[in-house]
Amino acid sequence: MPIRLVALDEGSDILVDRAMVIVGRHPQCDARLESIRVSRRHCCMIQDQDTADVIVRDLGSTNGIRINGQRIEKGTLRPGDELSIAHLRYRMEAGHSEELTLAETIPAEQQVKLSAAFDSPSSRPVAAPNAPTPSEHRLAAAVRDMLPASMADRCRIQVIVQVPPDDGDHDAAMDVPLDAKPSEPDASCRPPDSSPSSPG
Amino acid sequence: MPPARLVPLVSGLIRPIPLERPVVLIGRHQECDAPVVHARISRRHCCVAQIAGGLVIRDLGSRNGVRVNGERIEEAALADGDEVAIGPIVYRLEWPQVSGDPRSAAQQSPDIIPGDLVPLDDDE
Repeated sequence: MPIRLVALDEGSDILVDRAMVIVGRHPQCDARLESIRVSRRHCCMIQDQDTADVIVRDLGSTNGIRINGQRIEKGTLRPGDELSIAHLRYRMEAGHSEELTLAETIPAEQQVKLSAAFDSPSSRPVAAPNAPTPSEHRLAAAVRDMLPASMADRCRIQVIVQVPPDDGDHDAAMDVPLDAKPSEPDASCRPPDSSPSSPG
Repeated sequence: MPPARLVPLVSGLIRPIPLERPVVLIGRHQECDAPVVHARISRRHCCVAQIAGGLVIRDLGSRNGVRVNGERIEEAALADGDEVAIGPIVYRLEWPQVSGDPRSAAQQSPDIIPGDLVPLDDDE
């Protein structure tokens, strides 16, 4: 399971997904950072043999690396720690797969299907042939389709369409709440918006 | 696991390099874990890391490169007895194994060059 260093400043996350990850500005680096303040080969990272920690080694960079603000030459990065590579800060992800967004867990071919459902001309709720609920939005049905069955039966999928403010007039977000089959009332699921419970 | 080390083939001024730490940075610069003072060795030449029970060597963009068993590499898994040339200096990896094959452990991680291993039919 790759370890993710989440970017707190600009740039993308760093994935420690191979035996050794060299970070730097040089094209041959495994994780390239384009900033001029990052050295060509800035530091190297490996995953600890016994734990899920990351061992970081400075490769003689000009602007150095810091773990939780402390400048170090070599050090161990534990979940939750902050690593600075020159001026760029990263936080080591505490968990693993739980922290992935849904989009990151969906295989590419299913994502195509998802965008196809979204691009369909009908934005009204329609009955998809294999949808568990008759009046489910096609996009919601496509999402439900790729969820694990144990989860799909119990959750309510809300489709929120955000219109970019291109012509200035309408920058409102369209909120299309859709009710799914309430087969099992689950405490972790949010109640539908149609039943507001406000004790006067 | 007994510690691995790189022993120079030609003894003399060049010292063996112990590979006891998780990452060993090798080069001409003072701040390297294993400084090797030679004009044809880059300041930060390469590093050797202990990964998943195996050893992996990685060239750090050195001018004169790293060769494992004669083949120039960017990154490679190492096994006991491998000949590792760091620039002009040739070492042999001394890594007495208690049990198991270090390559098989290192190969599980992606993108490691497995060397010139050729599958052989040794059933008969």
